[in-house]
Amino acid sequence: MTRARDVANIDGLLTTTGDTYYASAAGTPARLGIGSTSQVLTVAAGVPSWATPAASTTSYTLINTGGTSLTGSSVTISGLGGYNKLFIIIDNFSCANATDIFIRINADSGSNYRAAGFGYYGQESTPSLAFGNGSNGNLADRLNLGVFYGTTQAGGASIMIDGANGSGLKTYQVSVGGNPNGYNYPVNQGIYSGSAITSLVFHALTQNWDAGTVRIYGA
Amino acid sequence: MLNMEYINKIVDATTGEVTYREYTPEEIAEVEAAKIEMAERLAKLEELNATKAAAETKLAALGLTPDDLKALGLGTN
Repeated sequence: MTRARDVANIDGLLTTTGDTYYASAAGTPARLGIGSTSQVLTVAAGVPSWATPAASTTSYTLINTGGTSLTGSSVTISGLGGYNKLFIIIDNFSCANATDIFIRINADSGSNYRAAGFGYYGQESTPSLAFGNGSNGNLADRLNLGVFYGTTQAGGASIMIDGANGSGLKTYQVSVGGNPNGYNYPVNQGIYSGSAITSLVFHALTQNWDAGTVRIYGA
Repeated sequence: MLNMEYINKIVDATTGEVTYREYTPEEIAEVEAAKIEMAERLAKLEELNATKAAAETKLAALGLTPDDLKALGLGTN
């Protein structure tokens, strides 16, 4: 160490506090003056330099081009890996009769969902603030969208999921609107404790989806 | 028209490929159990609505409405 420091001083390069000694070319010593506060050491044109880190931005893109129509008993949308944030919009969905409607992440039907929110049971308002309380359709084996009780029900929904690409807990926020005859959990927030998200399954449990379009945006 | 009951539509978002598969016996069993449970829920809801309608009829016979009860601080909706 002493010898290396002596060499640097001999070259007369280290003149100022914070200077860094490096090779600008093979066998060519050079001095890099200290950067400004909050700058980070990076590489530009093959040599070290100080630079201001780029501001963190979030940019969403539509993953399932053109959207996916809802039909049948359930619809799985796969190929969602690599996005840490997912924003899902379901337009104009409908079912012919009474059914629970919900999403399962990665087709996971385990008790890995914990949610709380303001809910309705039938046409009676029943606030529910307990996480995963298992009552009024707020079950722990699904990401709840609501319950249809009448016929020819229709509505729309949006779901924001954060932490989707990580191995840890993911958070989600759900908003559902539409025909008032039945939605259980028009606004709820929750936590999913499964693995990184690669697919979502949209269920109309005891009916078929008559209509609806799902668009999934990722960032 | 194609019967889509117990059919899972699968869409690969990256390629756009669409496939269909039939439900497994386990998945069908879950749906059938849910249908029974839903029928029970609907029956309870119908009973609740019938009770409510009967109460409203009694109120009307007294010349009252649900709004009158709310004005008195009674009732929840």
